[in-house]
This record gives sequence, C-alpha cells and structure tokens, in this order.
Amino acid sequence: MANSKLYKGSLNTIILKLLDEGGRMYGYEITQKVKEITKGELKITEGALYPALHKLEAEGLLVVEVAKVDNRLRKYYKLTEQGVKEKTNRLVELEDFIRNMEQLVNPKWTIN
Amino acid sequence: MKLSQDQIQELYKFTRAHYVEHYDLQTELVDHLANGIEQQWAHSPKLSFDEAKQMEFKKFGVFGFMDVVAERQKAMGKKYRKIIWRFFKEWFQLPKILIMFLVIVIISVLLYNSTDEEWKQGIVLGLSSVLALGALGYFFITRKNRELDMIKGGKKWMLGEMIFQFGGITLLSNFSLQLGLSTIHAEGFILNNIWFDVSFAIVWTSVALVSYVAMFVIPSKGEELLAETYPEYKITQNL
Repeated sequence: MANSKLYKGSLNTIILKLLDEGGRMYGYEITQKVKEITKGELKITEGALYPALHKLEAEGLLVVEVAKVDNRLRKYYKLTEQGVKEKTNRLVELEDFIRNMEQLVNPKWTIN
Repeated sequence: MKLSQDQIQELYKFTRAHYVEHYDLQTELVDHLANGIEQQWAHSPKLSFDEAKQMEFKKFGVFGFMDVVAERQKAMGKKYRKIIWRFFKEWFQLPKILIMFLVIVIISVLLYNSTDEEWKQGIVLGLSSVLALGALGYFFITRKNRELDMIKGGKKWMLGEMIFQFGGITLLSNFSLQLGLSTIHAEGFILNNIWFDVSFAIVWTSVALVSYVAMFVIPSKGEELLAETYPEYKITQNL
C-alpha cells in the first residue's frame, strides 16, 4: 500500500479534481474511484475522506445534494463556483510541488 | 444483492451505538457501510450481514467513527460561526447600525460622567452581570423547549443542536462577567480614561449583539437554516 503520509497533504486537491471530472460523487464512490485510477496503489481511508469532505463543504468549496437510492439516502458532493476556482489554484500548486520533488529526487546535472 | 430496509435500520442503530448521535452524519455513514457491504457480497455472496458490516467498520480504524464525528463537529462549528456572522453583519447597516451606535454612545457617556471610581466599577460590573446572568438564566428557563426543538421529527441534527444550544454562547457571557470582575482590581488610571469607556462600550455592545443573535435570531430561523444546510431535512420530515 502506498505511503499515506506522502499523500495526506494532497487529499483535498485529489477530491476537488475528482469532483471536477466526475460531476457529483458520493463518499464511497470517491474511495473506489481513487482505488481504480491508481490500480489499488492508493487507498483513501474512510477516516480521512469524510473529514476532508466536510471541511471543504464548510469552506464553501463543495455543496451537498441528497437523493434516495436503493431504500436509503445518499449524499452527493459537487463543486461550487468557488470550488472550481480553488481546484485550479490547488492543482497548479500540486503540479509545482511534483516538479520540485522530481528535480530533488532526480536532479538533471548540467555543466556550464 | 441489495440491503433490505431492516438492514438499513440496523445500520442506523449500529452508528448510534458507536457514538454517532446526529442523523445527518448517521445517514452518510449508513450509506457508506451499505455500499461496502454490497460490494463485499458481490465478491463473497455467502458472507453474513454482520460479518460484512464488521469488516467495513474496521476500515474506519481503531477509533471507529470518533474521528469522523470530531472533525464533523469542527466543520459544523465553522458553518455555525458563519451563520452568526451573517446575522451580526446585518446590524452594521442602516437603520440598525443607529441602534448600535446609540447604545455605544449611551454607555460611553454614562461611564465618562461617572467620576467616582467605585460607582464606575459598579456600572461596569452591573452591565457585565446583566449579560452573563441574563444569558444563563434564559438558557436554563428555555431548556425543555430547546430540547424538544432539537429532536423535532425524532431526529437530531448537528447544526440543530448547535442552534438550540445557542452555540455555547453562554461561554461568551462568562467572558463578559470576567471582564466586569477584572475592573475591581484595575488601577485608577485605566478606569479614568476615555478609551476605557469607549472600549468597554464597544465590547459590551458586541457581546450583547452576538448573544442576541445566537439566543433569539438564529433559533427563530432554525427550520429555515436546517433546510438550507441539509438537503435531506425536508425529505425526512415528509417520511
């Protein structure tokens, strides 16, 4: 299993990105989607996912919709307008981070 | 295979037994567990409901749902403070701002003209006590009604609990009492200063306004705010 500590700081960005692509999603669906994309390498734990979703909702980045599915209620999350903007900002930050990490881990030495 | 209505109810009971007392969070966790159980059944159809339920519950870690509940409380607290701020701000627009201004001026003038130190301390302590004891008294008198409002429709909502517990605003009243009491030991040069008079008037008026918003304005709009926060609120009221 992937080292969850390394992913922890990026969980909110991952959620925002998935919701941007998937429209509206519910908690369980998000865990499965991440598992599917990373071929089981990364598992978002339930104990981390819901706090992250609730925090993003309280910040006004997500909005909740509820539907009755299979004799139970299901809560779907989707991005607000503010959430769409924030997703773009956070993705840029994450890409910068990945680029920097790549340079640190795999430096390309040049002789001037 | 899908879960039956009885099994869904069993999951609600299960979340309650594991310290999730609010319906909003219960609903989300029940759906999560149900999805997990159905997924397990897709791979191992012979697995019993209880076994599958326990396997899904284990995925939440050693503390079970406790972390999720604690973090949800934090997030909802933030939402509640935003609601207070929304109604608090209304008092900084015309014509309500005139009332605020008038109260601040009256208290400032009253303090400024109290040249006797003991008399001034008496006014400060009196005003602080009115707020603190008023809030506490109102909190106790309305206890029964508030508890009924909290579980209206047989369901307890996290935001509903905050609204009808006045968001712990009685702590703020305690702060105002401490503020009043601290003037007893204050040096004369602090008390006999126009900045003290104005500052006290502003702080007292702000605390009074926040208390008023939390104790009267927000609870009177309780239903509306719950429906606005929880899309499932109206659905479940009609069940």
